[in-house]
Amino acid sequence: MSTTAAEHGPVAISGYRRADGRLGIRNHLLVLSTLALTNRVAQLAATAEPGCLLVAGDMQRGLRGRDAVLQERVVHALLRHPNVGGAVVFVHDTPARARMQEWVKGCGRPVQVLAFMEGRGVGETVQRGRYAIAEVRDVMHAQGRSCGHLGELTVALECGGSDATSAVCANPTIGGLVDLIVASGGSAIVSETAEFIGAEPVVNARAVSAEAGADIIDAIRQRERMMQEDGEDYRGVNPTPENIAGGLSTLIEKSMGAVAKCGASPFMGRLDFAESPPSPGLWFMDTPFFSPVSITGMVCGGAQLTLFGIGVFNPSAVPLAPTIRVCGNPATVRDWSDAIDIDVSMLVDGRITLTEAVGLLRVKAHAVCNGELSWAECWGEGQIIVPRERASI
Amino acid sequence: MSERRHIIVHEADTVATVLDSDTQATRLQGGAPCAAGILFGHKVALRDMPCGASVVKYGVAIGVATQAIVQGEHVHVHNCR
Repeated sequence: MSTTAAEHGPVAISGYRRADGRLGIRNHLLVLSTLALTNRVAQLAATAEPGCLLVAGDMQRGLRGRDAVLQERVVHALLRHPNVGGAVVFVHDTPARARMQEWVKGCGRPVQVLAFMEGRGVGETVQRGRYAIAEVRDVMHAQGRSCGHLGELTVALECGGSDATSAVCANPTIGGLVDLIVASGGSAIVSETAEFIGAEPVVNARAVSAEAGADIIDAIRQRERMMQEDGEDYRGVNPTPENIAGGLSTLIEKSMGAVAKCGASPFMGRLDFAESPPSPGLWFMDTPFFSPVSITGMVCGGAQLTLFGIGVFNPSAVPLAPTIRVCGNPATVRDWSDAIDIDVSMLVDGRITLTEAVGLLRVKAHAVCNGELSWAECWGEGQIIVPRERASI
Repeated sequence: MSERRHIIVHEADTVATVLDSDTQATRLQGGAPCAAGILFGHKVALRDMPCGASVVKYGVAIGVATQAIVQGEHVHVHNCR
């Protein structure tokens, strides 16, 4: 891709500067339920107050080992996400409240913590939640906007509903913007480990070091082993007869369709689920392939924005970070015009070049970073899903 | 004489992906040759490739020519793996 940072100059973003120096492109007042038992009171409080973002998922107790670690990592990552300006957290009981209040001291933003078991009725608990929301909102209103630039972004890279157009239209368009962001000093995270089966030579060739490449390939092998344990020979049956009928000749050609959204930057290394990149550049995060799960991992890793290449429609998103849906399939663009942010189907009929498509996406990303709502935000789409590996107690 | 819509993802690519169903046409947009009968989503050679040459798409080697391929020829499992 010939698009470079030098051609366009620095791209200014009016965002929200956090205590840790990171730039938010949204100023969400997060209402977070940390246990499924507190979901309803959190929801009632959040819907009674304007301008809240509710996250009430399937947080559990009795999780073991890594599952417990991941759930706690996700809760902490949500509370210190750059797009969060303040939060009200519902926890279950008094010890949990004490622990959370201690932790949020280092969070660098207004956070109030409420214990469900300290309530005196559902109505009273919801009312306390509303008071807390109002107090946090008052503090947040005193925060002004500040100036940042494209190179301060970490973007989550995703593709879903993939078809013949996403591989050659939507994903390379995203790849072009990723090259621009990385060249400007920013970061990108790509995930869905299983999609990289077959792309190992490309990962090795592009890894910043032999160790980084080996680390990523090890993650790919582990996922392939999981499939083999389930009796599935992915490498042996791909490309599938349907893929071959569609024009794909080799497994690496198939996997490159997804890898195209990474652009051409070197792979810096491998991240664990919801782990933040330790330095700028393009990072690989080891995650399951289901889009809402993998986007959860990347956004919890600090991504302020998701770039999502689609062929047929896919509504995956994580509410904290705007999602820009890029689509090159003319039928999808026609039928889902109220949900697709960037139409690059002109690539299919040759009306624009890839470089021009990257320019369109760059302009849209700039607008969304400056506050324009993405379709996923308009519809309130998306969820947080934490992967689970073991039976719980 | 109609010409086929296609996309070249990377400047180093030796194949283009055809993006229409006009399988009778024998030229790509811009005038390069294109064999008749290539289906939507399939690849066409942008240059001659000797047997054993890398087939490049997305700027990476996606396979090897298993026989000599001439410019405009359909590139698929019969001559690339």
